Amino acid sequence: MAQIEITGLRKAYNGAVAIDGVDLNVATGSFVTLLGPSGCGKTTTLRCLAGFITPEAGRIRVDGRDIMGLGPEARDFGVVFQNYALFPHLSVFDNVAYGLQARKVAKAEIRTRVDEVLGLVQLGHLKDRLPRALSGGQQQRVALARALVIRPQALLLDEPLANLDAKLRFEMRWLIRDLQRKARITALYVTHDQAEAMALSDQVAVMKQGRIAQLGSPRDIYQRPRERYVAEFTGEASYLRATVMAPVGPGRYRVTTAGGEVECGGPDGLTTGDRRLLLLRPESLQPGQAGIKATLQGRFFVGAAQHCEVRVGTDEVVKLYLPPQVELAEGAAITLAADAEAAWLLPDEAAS
Amino acid sequence: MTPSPARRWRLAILGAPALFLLVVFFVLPYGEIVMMSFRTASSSAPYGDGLTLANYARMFADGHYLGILGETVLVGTSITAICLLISFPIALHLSSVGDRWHTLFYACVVSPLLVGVLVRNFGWMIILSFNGPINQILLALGLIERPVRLLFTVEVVVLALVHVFIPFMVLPITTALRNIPPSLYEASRSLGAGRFSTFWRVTLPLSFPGVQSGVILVFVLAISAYVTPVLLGGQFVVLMPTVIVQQLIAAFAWPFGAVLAMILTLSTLSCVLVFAFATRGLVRRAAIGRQP
Repeated sequence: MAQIEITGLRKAYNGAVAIDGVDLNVATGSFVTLLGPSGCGKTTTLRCLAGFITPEAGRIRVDGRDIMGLGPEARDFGVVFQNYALFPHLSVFDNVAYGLQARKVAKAEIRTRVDEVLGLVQLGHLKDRLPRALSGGQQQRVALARALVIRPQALLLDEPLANLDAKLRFEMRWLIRDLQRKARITALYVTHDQAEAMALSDQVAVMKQGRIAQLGSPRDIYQRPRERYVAEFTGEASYLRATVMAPVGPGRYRVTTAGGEVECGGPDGLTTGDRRLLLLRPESLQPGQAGIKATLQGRFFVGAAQHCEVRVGTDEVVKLYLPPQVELAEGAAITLAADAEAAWLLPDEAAS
Repeated sequence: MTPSPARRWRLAILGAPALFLLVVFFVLPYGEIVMMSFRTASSSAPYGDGLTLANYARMFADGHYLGILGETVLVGTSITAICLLISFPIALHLSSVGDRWHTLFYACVVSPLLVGVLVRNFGWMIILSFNGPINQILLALGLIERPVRLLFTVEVVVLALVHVFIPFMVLPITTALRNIPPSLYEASRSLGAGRFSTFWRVTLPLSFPGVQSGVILVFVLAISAYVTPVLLGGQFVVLMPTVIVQQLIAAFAWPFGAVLAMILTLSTLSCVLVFAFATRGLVRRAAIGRQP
């Protein structure tokens, strides 16, 4: 258990900047995810932390102690790899025991601790198998057990679920969260899957071109993104050009759009006449009496819902989900009642 | 799924040239040697008409030949062991060297094979002769008082064969090392194992399939080497291939020569089988990426 503090981390590969000034604090016992598309620098950040690569600039401190000079073997992190990285010539037991043997733990204690952790991941009965005789999910559980058994200062997970099928990925999510909570271990997780990031994390850091675009709770980054990039990366979203009419409370504004006036949330400090983008999440919109006037442009029926596209004004399109029982013809007029809690103002990069 | 008759014929035709070569140049000559080893000697033909076990009896009764066989296996084993010790670091380097220098290192490793066997051995003879550069240097450094005999020693034969067999050891080990995913090293280090421990517990065992192929290749080549022992060992280094050729060509004792060839082949084969059997567990465990 430890607190990790990363400041000003920078790394370039042959001149191409991979990370460009990453600052991140991971509180003791918390679960923080680096989320972003491939090439955003999330894996590079994790690999710097693990000691596999040396950054050009920046500091990494664990509980206030600088670990930049330490090799991976001295950093005491449990690393879980995307491709599992199990030792193919060692049995499940020996794979898990590897880190304890390296730490010269007594044989009897190794046996107890390995058995205990294999029990936690429900693989006690397979401990004599070689990794290649296991399924992908089982291999990933061995990898998790191997990283946990050394009781590391922190767990570093690099897209651990990316190679699993959807159902297994779901189960493994619960297992990882559960084990992390039980062990109360600090965890840094890397993924490009926004649902996974939000489901697992206390804090999500959305990364963009080698920097952290926004760090916040899953709710924060989903409902109150700081920029359009974050909004787009965290889920389905539509945007309307909007102009602030007046603040109506702390972090609350009345804005006007091509479809009419609505009330919404936004960052502090906006004033009348500011041009912004209004973020609308499809699940937070429903037909109502007052709100944004729109025309139904297209829809498809997916059983549990109807995914619709409506046109606002002349050229703006908004997505929303309607309940399956609503019958609306294409071209019909519809008024969208936006939940003021869920509608949020973003900087309008095109306008500024 | 069994192939249709037409398809089977087509496959047979495709395989025919290879089969033809194998039968004419390998199976038939070998059969001939096996046959010959049971024939009586003859002064007018390669062998007489009668069948006999006397050639085998003579070979086993005479400690001389068994001694030479033992020596041959010993020399072969030494060459293999020295090759392995020299080649592993080279392979380790080759498997990690990045793009630019790769081709150059590769060329260096296979360079002994680029020179014909005679040229290579005459080169050694010049270097190692009484007035050759090695003796000159040793004299100049004051390490020796007069030129020493370097040629026609078993050490020189071993040296020359190690030199030319190194590529056969380096290449399979390099391939095996390249097959090890780099994440395994990272996993090992992150679990607290240092560089040395990682080498010992991950690199070495996982390179074993390559080590096994290299060892077998070099051992078989070393046991059957003829030109180098003859040229650099002369009469002082007598190994099985030399004795066999002497029997066939000089003594014209074809049946007895055939016996010696049979014994050498069987000994080599059993050494290889024992080695492969003893190490099969290691190889099977280290087989990376193969699903059951």
